[in-house]
Amino acid sequence: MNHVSILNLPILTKSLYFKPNLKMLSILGFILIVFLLGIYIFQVSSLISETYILQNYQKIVAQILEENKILEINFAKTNSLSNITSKIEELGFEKIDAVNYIQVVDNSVARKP
Amino acid sequence: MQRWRINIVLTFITIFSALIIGRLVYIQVINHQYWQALAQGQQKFFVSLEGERGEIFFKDGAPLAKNYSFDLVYAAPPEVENPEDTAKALGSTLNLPEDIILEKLQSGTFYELLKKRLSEEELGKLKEMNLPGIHLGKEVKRYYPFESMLAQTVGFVGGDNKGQYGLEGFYDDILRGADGILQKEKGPGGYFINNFGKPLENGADVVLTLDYNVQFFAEKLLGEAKENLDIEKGEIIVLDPNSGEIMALANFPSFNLNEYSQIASLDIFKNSSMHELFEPGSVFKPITMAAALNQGKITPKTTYVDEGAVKIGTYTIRNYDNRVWGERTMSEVLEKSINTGAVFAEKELGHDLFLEYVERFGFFTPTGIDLQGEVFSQNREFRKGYEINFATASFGQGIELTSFQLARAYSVIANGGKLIRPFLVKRILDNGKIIEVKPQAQDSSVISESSASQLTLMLVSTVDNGFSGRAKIPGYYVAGKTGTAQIPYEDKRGYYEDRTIQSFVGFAPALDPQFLILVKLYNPKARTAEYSAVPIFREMAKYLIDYLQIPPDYDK
Repeated sequence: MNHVSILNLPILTKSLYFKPNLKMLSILGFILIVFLLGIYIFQVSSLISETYILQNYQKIVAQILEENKILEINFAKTNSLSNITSKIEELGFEKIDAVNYIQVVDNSVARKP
Repeated sequence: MQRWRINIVLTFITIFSALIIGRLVYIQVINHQYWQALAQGQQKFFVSLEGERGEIFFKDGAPLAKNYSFDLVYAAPPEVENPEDTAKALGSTLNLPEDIILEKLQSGTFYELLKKRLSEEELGKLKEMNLPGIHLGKEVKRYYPFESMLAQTVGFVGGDNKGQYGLEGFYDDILRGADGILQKEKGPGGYFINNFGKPLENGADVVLTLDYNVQFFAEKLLGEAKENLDIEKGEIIVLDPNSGEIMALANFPSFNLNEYSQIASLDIFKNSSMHELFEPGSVFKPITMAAALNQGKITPKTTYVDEGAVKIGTYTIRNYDNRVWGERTMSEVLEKSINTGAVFAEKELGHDLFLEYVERFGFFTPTGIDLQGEVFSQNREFRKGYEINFATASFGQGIELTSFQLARAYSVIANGGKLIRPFLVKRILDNGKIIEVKPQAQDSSVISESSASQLTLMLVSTVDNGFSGRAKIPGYYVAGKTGTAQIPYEDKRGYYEDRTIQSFVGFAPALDPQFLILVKLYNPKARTAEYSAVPIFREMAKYLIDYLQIPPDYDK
């Protein structure tokens, strides 16, 4: 019966040995940190600018809605019958009692009723 | 040597890293709740808000009650640099006493409201002055574009944002937006980046049955009645007697809804059509007739002999102006408005049945109109069972009711016997959902269709041949009845000699009614309703016939 230890296999003893290159690792780590920092700054700045734009739009929407309400109220007031009645009085309009139709011949421009 | 140095550096780095990791574990795992709460406290904000109040519209979409953002000015006293000069400048700009402003500026608090509802001019001046510690703000409040139109019917929103009186009061739960908490999150740069929480639920909008044009005309007529008849108060109700939809509800005097807080007497807030009881007088006679007709105790042609007075116990009931009419039919009793004739019809009917019919016509119950605080009378005195009470009630004295109860009773005659519920809201618009309000009518008829038709013809005859003749409109059959009722003393038995309530209730076209009008005037300078309420009814009815384009019943 043969017992062969797996640790003694020559192929493993050489190829699995890894010597860390600290200098390379530090450079890579530094580059990664700078890269991530750059991404972070970029994301934060774009988030801020988008939020700012969004808030600006929200303000504009609120302003337009308010202006719309004012217009609606002014429209209702201007078209109110009380306003029209006072305008009629102001302009001296007369209420029509009877409608008289006048016949205008082709060759006349104006005619006395 | 070199190896040794590296080992020391590595050991330090390891210890330092272990310390950092340990600290991070302590902060993020063991004590994470504390730090999380602290961070959220700095980043998240909770604002308690109420959804916007629903708006009110006329049937045709004209706005009756809207929400409006008003400008206001407030002070932050610690930021004010020179209180005396600031108070002086603000006093003249805002038209407020300087000493009151100065007191506020020196109060030491962080917030002092100076003035609400700024005018454009005030706002412009304040912006120009740009005083330190003086800030501008906004508040959303109710605004009524038509100001005094329908004031008592619409009601208003009080300082606590609660609807009071009228529709604002009755539909407060529907109009009011739901309370909610909005969560806001602050991101980098201090800007709000997110809104969380349930979106705020705004109140529902309501669309009324009221027609702006009809309402305007009704209010105009009451304004003219003030000029021509010097009325103390007045009201006009226009409704569809078939469905109960109210087309106009005018009250005089009125008040500016946007300045309700400046009104000294609260009485003006009352809607006299449903907040005030009155003794109707002769306008009640058709109800007595309807009951007797329906029971088959009389017909329009039944005759009796009027001797000018009826003696009941120690009391004597007389006709208006002490007139004696001799032998008269029941139709003529309505035409000439004979008190003794109404007493005769009531006697023929019997007291118990009369009482039952008064109840069936809805005079002991509220109409159920969708306005806040409707009153009604149990009429306990009348129901005690004294003969004199039944006799006087037969022609409308000694019995109390509201205008809406009277209009509803006349609707029974107009629509063939159905007791309807008058209503003002046609549609509720609740966040995209449309809820249509269906008319409600009592299942059982108060009187039969044939009795209603007979009575309608009697009322047409009253307009054609009686004191209501001024209500006639050529081409149309109009049914109606006048009432000139004495006003009882407030503190003792008996009636004022010189004060009356003059009214007219009528509907047209009589045989297929499209509208019913009730005109009621308090103490007009006219002898009877024939000269006060009837011409107003005619004007209103003529307008409605033209406006609704109702075809004529016969050629003029």
